[in-house]
Amino acid sequence: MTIPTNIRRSMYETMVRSRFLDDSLTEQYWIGKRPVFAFGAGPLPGELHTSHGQEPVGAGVCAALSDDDMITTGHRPHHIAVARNVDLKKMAAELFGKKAGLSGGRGGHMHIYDKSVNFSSSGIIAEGLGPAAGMAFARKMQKKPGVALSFLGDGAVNQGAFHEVMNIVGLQKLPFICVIEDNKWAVTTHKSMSTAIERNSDRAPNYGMAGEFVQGNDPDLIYAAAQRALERARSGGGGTILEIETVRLSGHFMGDPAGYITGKDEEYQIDPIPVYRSRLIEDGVISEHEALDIEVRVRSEVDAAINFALEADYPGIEDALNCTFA
Amino acid sequence: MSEGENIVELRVSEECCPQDGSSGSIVLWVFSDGAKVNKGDFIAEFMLDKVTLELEAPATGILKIELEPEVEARRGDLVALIYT
Amino acid sequence: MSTKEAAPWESPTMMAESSRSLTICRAQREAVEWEMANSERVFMMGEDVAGFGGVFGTADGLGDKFGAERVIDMPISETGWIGMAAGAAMEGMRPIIELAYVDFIGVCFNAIANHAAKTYFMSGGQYKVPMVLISGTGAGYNNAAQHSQCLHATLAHMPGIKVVSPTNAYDAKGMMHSAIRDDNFVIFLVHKGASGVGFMGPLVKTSINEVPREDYTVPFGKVRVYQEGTDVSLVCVGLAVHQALESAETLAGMGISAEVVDLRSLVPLDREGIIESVSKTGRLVVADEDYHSYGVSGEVFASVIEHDASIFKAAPQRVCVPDVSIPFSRPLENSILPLADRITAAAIKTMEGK
Repeated sequence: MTIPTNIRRSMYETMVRSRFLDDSLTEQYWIGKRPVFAFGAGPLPGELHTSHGQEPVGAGVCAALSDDDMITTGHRPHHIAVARNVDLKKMAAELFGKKAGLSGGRGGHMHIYDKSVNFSSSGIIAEGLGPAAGMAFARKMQKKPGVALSFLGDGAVNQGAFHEVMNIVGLQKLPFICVIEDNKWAVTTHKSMSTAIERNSDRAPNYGMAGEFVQGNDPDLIYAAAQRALERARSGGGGTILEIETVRLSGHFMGDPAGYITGKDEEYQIDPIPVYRSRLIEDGVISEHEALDIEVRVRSEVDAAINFALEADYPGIEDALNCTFA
Repeated sequence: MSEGENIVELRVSEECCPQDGSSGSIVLWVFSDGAKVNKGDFIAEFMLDKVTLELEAPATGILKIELEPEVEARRGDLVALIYT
Repeated sequence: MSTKEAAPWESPTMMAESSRSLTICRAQREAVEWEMANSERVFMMGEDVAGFGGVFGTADGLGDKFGAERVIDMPISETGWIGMAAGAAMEGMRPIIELAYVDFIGVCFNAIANHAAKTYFMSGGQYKVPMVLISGTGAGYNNAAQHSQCLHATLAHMPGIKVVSPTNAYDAKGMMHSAIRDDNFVIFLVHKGASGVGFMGPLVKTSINEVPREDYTVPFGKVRVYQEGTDVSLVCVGLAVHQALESAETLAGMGISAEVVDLRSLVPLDREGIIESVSKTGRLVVADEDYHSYGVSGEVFASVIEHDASIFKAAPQRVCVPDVSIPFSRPLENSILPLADRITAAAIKTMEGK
């Protein structure tokens, strides 16, 4: 398929936005955490799982979605949130624990929710699968459009929930896509050490679903595959296991030097953003000058979001107690 | 100082602070001042960023602590003396 | 004779083997290492344990020492491998399994509470399940609702599981030896902030103490009195013990003598030890980082009341996390934790009488 140039340009911009956000967050994260590291220290506390290298998955899949579609994802949400147009300022504020954040500071980085764009993420591995299937189920009952997508990693598919939910999706032909971000690593465990077969997409027929594996961490190929899966779901053809090869460039969480990635595994770690940038310039989609323009503009957007977050107020302590029940 | 006595220094090594300007600190002393330690004994934890390194006694003798926990230290700083 | 300070080489410890101060994490690992070296039946299993040593250092170095066949990495399939470990225990092995964060019991609660816990009973004693589950509890590092819980009460509530939570290195090693040698299913909980892995922040000084080199056991079912007092009993579990020690210092400055009691063993629970302390002081504050309602604090109150409610000179107080999810934002999280100032305020309240 030929991808319209405006979409390709937009995917590049999305990837840059996600990357610049993660770079700025990384910078902020280390403030206050030296010389003795402590999770709780500094303006940006807690665990932080950045998406360096996985930007193509967010950009490629989300470029194909409509407003009606719904997303759940896990503990590494930034690239998907950015691609889904989650409010950048409110997201940054949430990461810094500020009242202006998406959840008023209650959730933090592993628990990013933006209902206005049908986006939610939470921290327990694979727990987003059931809810996403449920959202698809609800739309079916309501006779409303919308495909549900659940993003998870190559390690997460070994949870019981994966097998249970895929079977139900297949049984009920739900409009659902399971997006497996195959970055080859679950903390320090390589995919070959955790999964009995090479490709989870090969399991799809066993669940009554379609399966597709996308190589190369390439936003164009990812976009095209997402389109196919969405078309299938929208036309009543049921669910897809869409397994996308990607790369995790900055360790499992902030502070993980990832010394366990060596040799051949290390050669696999290629940054996809410069690769895509060069390709777009080669294809005449953007010029070097336009690429720089995009980068400058996005940089100032991200800076504005970070500054907004830094300047925003913390919540009052009553906010710890007033949000348990509706 | 009595005859034959030696003082062996333990300083922050390159392994502890590989990059110029990087700093870490002691987080735990396993032995206290005046304790006898054997060469190779694990005697302290040193943290750099999120990584904990184990410091070993460079010699057998009596430990004198020169770097307290949580005090920022750079490559080459004196950590302890061992009186052999 | 000179009165100057003795030089280090004149120290009386020169001839003796020096005592070592360790963190909880290192001390408990020494016990695991000893037991694994002394019995082929003991093995470790978990996620990221073999090469990485566990996210909280529970298996650091053990994979290198004992190999991948005895320190076994599993996929993210807790129901699967916890069930497997219990089965191995039923067939005579002695597994030590690790669940990095106690919050994860959600995904595998059946394997823990309905299977491993109940098998000995349901089989009329035919099948023992000599398994140890190590898990990290606790908040205070801005990791939000799903990675910060204690869940002491949830686990202690289920019959068939021994539940312990040491708060210092000496107890950690001794209780780990006891846990591995116990023929029952033991859950060994350590507050992540007290375990002594440096990346959780400055070490908790009162958790670091002298650890003997040889193996030894610390029995379950006995409280540890960190310091004696006469006016109020601060009965605690987990990191709250250390907050209570801080509080006790403040209270001493106000002329209030606080007794700091570490439950350290939830199942079996040392009700006699609790009653002994409260009989002496007449005043009780329970500090527990688990949720307020339906938990350890209520159990401690009930244990005293069932014995003799008249020993109270004042209404007992509890300092717990309120019945809310643990929030991310720093001021919100700090406001709900059982920190020293809240414990002090509760103790003062008991001093004001009924």
